[in-house]
Amino acid sequence: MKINENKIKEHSGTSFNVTKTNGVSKIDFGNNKWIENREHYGKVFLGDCDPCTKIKALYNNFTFDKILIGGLGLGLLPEYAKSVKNCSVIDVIENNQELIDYVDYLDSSINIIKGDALSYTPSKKYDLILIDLWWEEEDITQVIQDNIKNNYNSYLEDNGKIIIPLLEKEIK
Amino acid sequence: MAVPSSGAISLLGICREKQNDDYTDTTAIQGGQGGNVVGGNGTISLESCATSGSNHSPQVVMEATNTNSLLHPNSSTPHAMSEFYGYDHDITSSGTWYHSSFYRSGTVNEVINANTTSATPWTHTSKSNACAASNGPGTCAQILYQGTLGNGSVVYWAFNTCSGHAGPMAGANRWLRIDSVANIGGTSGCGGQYTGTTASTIDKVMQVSNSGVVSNYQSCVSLVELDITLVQPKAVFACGESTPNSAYFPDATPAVNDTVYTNSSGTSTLSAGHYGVLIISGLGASHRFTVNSNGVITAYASC
Repeated sequence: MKINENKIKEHSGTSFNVTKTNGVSKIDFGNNKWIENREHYGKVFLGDCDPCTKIKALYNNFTFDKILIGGLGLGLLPEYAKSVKNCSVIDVIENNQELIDYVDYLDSSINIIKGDALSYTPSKKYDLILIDLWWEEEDITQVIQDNIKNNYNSYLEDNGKIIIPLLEKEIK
Repeated sequence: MAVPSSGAISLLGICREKQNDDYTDTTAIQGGQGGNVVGGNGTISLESCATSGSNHSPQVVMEATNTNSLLHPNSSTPHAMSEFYGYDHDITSSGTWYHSSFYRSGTVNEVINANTTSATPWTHTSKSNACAASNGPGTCAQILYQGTLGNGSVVYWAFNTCSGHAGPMAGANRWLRIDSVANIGGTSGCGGQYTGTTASTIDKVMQVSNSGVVSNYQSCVSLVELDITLVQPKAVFACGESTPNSAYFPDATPAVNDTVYTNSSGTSTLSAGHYGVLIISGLGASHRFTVNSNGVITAYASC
C-alpha cells in the first residue's frame, strides 16, 4: 500500500526535498538517495514480494503484530504495516526532526519517536524489529549488526525477529 | 600549449613550441645562431626544428628536442611535421603512455610499408573482419594511447621505435582491434617508455578516423539483450520490479566486472545505480545488480 498522494505535499527543506513527477511523490535526501511513493517497497521489506525469495524466506511461518521500524522515510513501511499487515503496534524511530514534522499524514495509531535507532531503548517488546537506515549494503558492518542485536535482543517477544531488509538478513 | 595532437599544424607553430615552449606564443623566436628569426636574419625550417638546426646556417639553431615528451620527433630524414604532433617542449614528464599490439589485415611487409600514410594494413573494413582477424602485426609496429582508451581517445602509431610516435594513426574510419601487448609489436624492448596496454582493452574493436580519433569502441563479443528495471534507490527494491527497459550484457549470465551497455553496439554504458534483471521468467526481476559510473557490475545477486 502506498501513501495517498493527496496527503503528500511538495517540500523544499534543509535535509530533503519532496517533488512530484507524473503524480508520484519522491523524497530526495541528496547524493542520489531517494525514495518514491510506491507500494513495492513495503511489499519487498515486509515479505510480500513473491519473486523476492530471500527476503520472503525471512517471513516464512512468521507472523507479527507489534513492530518497531528504524527509519521513517516517506512512511511507506509503517503505512504498509498498518494497512496491509494490520499491525496493532507500530512504532517508528527517526532522528530527523524535519522529517518527523513533515510526515504528518500517517494513521494516528502509528507512533513516531525521535531518537537514534542504533541506540534507542524500547519501553516494550516487539514481534518484529526492522531496521532500515542505510542505502548501500556495504554500509552495514558486522559491528553495526552486532550492536543492533545487543541493543534490541531483550526487547523481542518469544520467536521475535530483528531483520535488516537491505541485507535480506535476520540477525536474531 | 603543446603542438596539437591532430589536424593541421604549422611550421611556425612548431618552431614556437621549440623556442618559446608554446605552440601559440607569438613572441619573436630567438635562436642560437640566427638571432631574431621573425624579422631577423635567421630562417626556420622543418630540418632545423627536427635536428635543432645542426648549424645549417642561416637556419636558426633550435633548442635540443625534449625527449621527456613522449611524442617527439626523431632526427632522421625524411622529416615530417606529423612527427611533432603532441610534442611538448617544456614538459618534464609525459605521463603514462600505453602501447599495444593489434590485429593486422595486410601482410607484415604492408604493415611495415604503411609508413604513416595509410593504416589500411593495420585495420579492417568491418567490425566483423576485425573480430575475425588472428594475425598480430608480425613486426615492431604498435599503437599508443593515453588514459582510458575509449570513444574520443586519440590513437597514435609507431614503427620500430621505443620512444615517440609517428603521429595519429590515419585510420580512414576503418576498424582497429587491440591485441595483447605481449605479442610482436607490443614489446620489442619498448617497455621503458611505454606501459603495457590495459587488460580490459584487449580484443576491443573501434573505428579510427584519419586524425586517430576513436569511435564505436566496443567488444567483439555479440552482446546479449536482457530486460531490466528502472534504476532503484536500494538494491533489494529491484527484486520483483517490472522490467520495461533493455540492456546489453556480454552474455546471458551477468557477473561482477561485466560491462553493461544501453545499446547493442556497446558504445553507451548503463548509468550508475541499482537495477533488476529478468533472468528467470516470472513476476518481475529475478536478479539484481549494481553498476558503477563506468557501467561495470560491482554487485550481482539472485533475488
